[in-house]
Amino acid sequence: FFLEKMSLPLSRSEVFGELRKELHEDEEFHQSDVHVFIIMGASVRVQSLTEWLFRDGLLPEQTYFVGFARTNLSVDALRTACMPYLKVTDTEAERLSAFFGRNTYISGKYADGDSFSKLNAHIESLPGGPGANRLFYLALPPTVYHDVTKNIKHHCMSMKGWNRVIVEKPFGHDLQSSEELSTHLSSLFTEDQIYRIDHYLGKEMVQNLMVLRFGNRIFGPIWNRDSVACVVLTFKEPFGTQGRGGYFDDFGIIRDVMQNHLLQMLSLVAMEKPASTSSDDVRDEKVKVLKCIAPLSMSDVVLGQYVGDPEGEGDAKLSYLDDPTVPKGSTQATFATAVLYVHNERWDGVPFILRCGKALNERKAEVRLQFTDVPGDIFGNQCRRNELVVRVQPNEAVYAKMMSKKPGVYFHPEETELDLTYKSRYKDVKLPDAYERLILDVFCGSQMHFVRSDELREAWRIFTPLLHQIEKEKPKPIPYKYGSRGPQEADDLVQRVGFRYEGTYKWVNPHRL
Amino acid sequence: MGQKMSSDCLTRSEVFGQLRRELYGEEQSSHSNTHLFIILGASGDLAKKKIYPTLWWLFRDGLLPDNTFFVGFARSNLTVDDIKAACLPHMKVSDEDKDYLSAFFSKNSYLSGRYDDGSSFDQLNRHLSSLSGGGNTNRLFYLALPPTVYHHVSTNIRTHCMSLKGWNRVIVEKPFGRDLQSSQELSAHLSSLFTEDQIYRIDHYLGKEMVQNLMVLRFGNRIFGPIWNRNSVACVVLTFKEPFGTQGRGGYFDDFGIIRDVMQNHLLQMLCLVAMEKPPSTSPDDVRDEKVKVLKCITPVEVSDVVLGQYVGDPEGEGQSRLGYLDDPTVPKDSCTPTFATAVLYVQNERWDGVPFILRCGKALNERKAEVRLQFTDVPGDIFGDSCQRNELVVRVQPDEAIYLKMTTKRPGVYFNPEETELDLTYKSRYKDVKLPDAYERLILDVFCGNQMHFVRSDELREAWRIFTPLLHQIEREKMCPIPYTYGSRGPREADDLMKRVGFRYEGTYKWVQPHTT
Repeated sequence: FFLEKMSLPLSRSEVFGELRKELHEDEEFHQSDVHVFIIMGASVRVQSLTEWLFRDGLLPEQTYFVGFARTNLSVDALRTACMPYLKVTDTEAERLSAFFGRNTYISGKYADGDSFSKLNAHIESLPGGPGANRLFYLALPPTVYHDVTKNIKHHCMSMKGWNRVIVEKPFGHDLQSSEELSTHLSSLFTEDQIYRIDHYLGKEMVQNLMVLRFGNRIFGPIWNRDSVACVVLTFKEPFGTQGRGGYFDDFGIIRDVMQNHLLQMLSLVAMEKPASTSSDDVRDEKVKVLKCIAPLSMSDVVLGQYVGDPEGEGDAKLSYLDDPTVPKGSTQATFATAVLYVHNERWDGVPFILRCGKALNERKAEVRLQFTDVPGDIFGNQCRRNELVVRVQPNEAVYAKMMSKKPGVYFHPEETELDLTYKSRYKDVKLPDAYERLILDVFCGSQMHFVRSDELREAWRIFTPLLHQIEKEKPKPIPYKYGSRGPQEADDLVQRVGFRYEGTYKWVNPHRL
Repeated sequence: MGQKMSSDCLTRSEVFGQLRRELYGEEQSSHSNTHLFIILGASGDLAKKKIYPTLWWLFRDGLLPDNTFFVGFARSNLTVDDIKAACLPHMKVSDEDKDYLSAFFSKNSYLSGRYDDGSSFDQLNRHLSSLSGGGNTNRLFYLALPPTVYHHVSTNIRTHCMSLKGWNRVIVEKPFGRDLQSSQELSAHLSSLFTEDQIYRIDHYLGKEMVQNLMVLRFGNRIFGPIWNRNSVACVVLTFKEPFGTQGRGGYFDDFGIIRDVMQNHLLQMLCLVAMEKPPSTSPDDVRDEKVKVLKCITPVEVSDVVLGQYVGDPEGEGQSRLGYLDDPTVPKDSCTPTFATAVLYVQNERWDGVPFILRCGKALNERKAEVRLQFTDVPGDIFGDSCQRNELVVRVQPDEAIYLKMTTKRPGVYFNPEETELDLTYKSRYKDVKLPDAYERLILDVFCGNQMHFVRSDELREAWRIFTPLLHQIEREKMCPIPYTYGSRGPREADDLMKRVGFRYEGTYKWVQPHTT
């Protein structure tokens, strides 16, 4: 499947070689040719991801997979559990068997040192095991993080190869809890061993932001407060919690989406050009952006919670509070719009609008730069603002909304766009899943698309006072209808800070017949 | 056709009403209800192939004022039926248009007379007066004539045929002289007879969709403002390429050469629209003032900034491509007339100082293409290991109108290296139901509407000749030998070298991809 993505027919090993060259230029990779990928929590999702990568020949040939969890499982049971996610064609059956031939499973207790000694002995017993590089994927609830990481550190570290630990959110629930977790992790591992996943950083168009910005001369002179009126970062889902609101209710939309995914995109849009594309140079710049953002205050935020649409169908009839796993009377926000300002020379005064929500009118994640009005307009105020839109999902695209002469015998401007729609332009390219890319990055030792401790700290610094205030005062979120644009108050806020929405333009897919 | 152009469903008269409002302003149009369109040289090639068909299309689409009559005038003794027979092959008449076609020709009449004979024009005038029924008439005189009779005809129109109550407009076609002096003589003659706002000099490139769009693109978009200058633009390339030679009609061409035929007019007009400052308004004279200002900042072209070429047959080619320019029997045996030219101009003002404007044009080349290309400078402080190619904004005038921005994107997939791609606006994909009108349709409509924006003013013309005349004289004086290039090639190698020398970067790594093909 990966081979189809490429325009050049390369063999698997060539592909891997090329990737390795590109992503990983130091020698660490060559310390050992054997890799052991340990999945703590025996997650079906992570298991499936590794299978895809293995099948596509993107992992080093000599890679073994070890599952570890409390349940007593067999590899066959794991395989059965994974099958629905693997999308295996007949021709790939052999590769699939080869994959599960590399899989083993150990059960043990997370708090029990002996279990980890056993795990370590098992890893050592694999062919090439004693010198192998080890990747630990923590697919675990936060409650056991502490024990597991300590036990990994004490019992399971490779002495000859490298060790890398992949951590998933939640990274705490506020500045203090996050700092505690980070302190704990850094007492056990060095920063270059820790890979915090924000899967938005694995998305094609999010990764593209840096290339678009710094690989194009034309964007340089207009990417600043002189030309940009505002930046809008959007995440919209068309469905509610669907009976799984219990977990969500502990966190809310700000922690679930805004403080991580949207803020990461903001950093990539706002940062200065790094000294190089090395991971730490890039993350240094992202941290710098965050440092220039003051903590959010309540007046720059609109919170919402969806209510059922009596005229809707199925789930759309249900409110957030109708989800049986959600506590009665919950004031948790399922929608939030917040306005941030980056107080530096480039962005002073430019609103960065972060919008996210569930049960809205569409599925969409995008970055939108709205440019200022044309000064000294000569077309009688017919010109709408230019916008540069990077659509992250669905249907990846970059387009510049602009004015062009109305075609024909006219001479007045009308709205159109310069467009790059991926599925039209790159017909044979299958874009890899965000997690696939990120796991590959861990193999290659590239931390660019992972969240560093100081980034995380700054992100929490910005949102924690607001979150605490919300939890203390329990303001009632504004109800909005399932399937709507969210509360009207959010649109008002966005308009108030300077975003101009005329409603005159709709993106046209120029490729549809 | 006008109806098809607009996405809204408007009736013909609504379209015309809208156009009139937009292009014209209500007052002028109420001067008179009768318009007389007089074609001088009605028996000629231009009339037959361009003017009559264009008038027919405008008539069919309801874009002309209701009471418009067409009067042909030439030396030959002809009837309207003769004219009709000659024009029909060029008029693209469909079956359902048959009724309209009869209506069109019923509004036509033809008179023969001598161009230098005052009484012939008296007769013409009497005929014109009879058509208007004594009321006010506006008169449009289209001079589709060889330069030799311009003098007489324009004098006779002025003396005998001017409408006294309505307006009079005179449409003039190139050549507007052949150098600064002859052009100035012609202009002086015309302005002794007509005021500048009566004179409509056609450069049909100004009627093209994408050439007209240049102003809207530049001044309607905030994003282009900060990069449209010497800080960001490395060079501008204006290209006109034809894939065929003179095809036995080189006699006329040989008198002029490619510089007069294409570069000094079409390419220079496009240059003005790319380089000019924002005018205070879109009124025709404000726009033309700015275009003249650009030309005034250009010093005459030096021979050292020019490469001239003349095509030779490709022995491995087929048909026409085996023939060199000199094989055309209508071309003098030892002609040194260039069929290809590349010239580098500099606009010495604050915005463009040091930025080369490269004008390229030629016949018998590898493709048909007219485009405007802005190449931007390198990314300063590149962090991608020199793998970024230069951004380019391309406005393709013909064929297949498009705007695209060549840019760098992340190579899709598990990669992080830059690769070339484009943001694209291809008209035939984006505007599927829009038929773009022909350049002449727009321009003739503009004359009806009294909009001179897309016509060449005397001072523009003078400046254009000022820039090219010393070069042209030197070429002719020294009989400079053009460099031979093979039919169907890119032109002489020396032209590419010149472009490279002045700063254009061509990597050959990028080819525009039509993103809509299946």
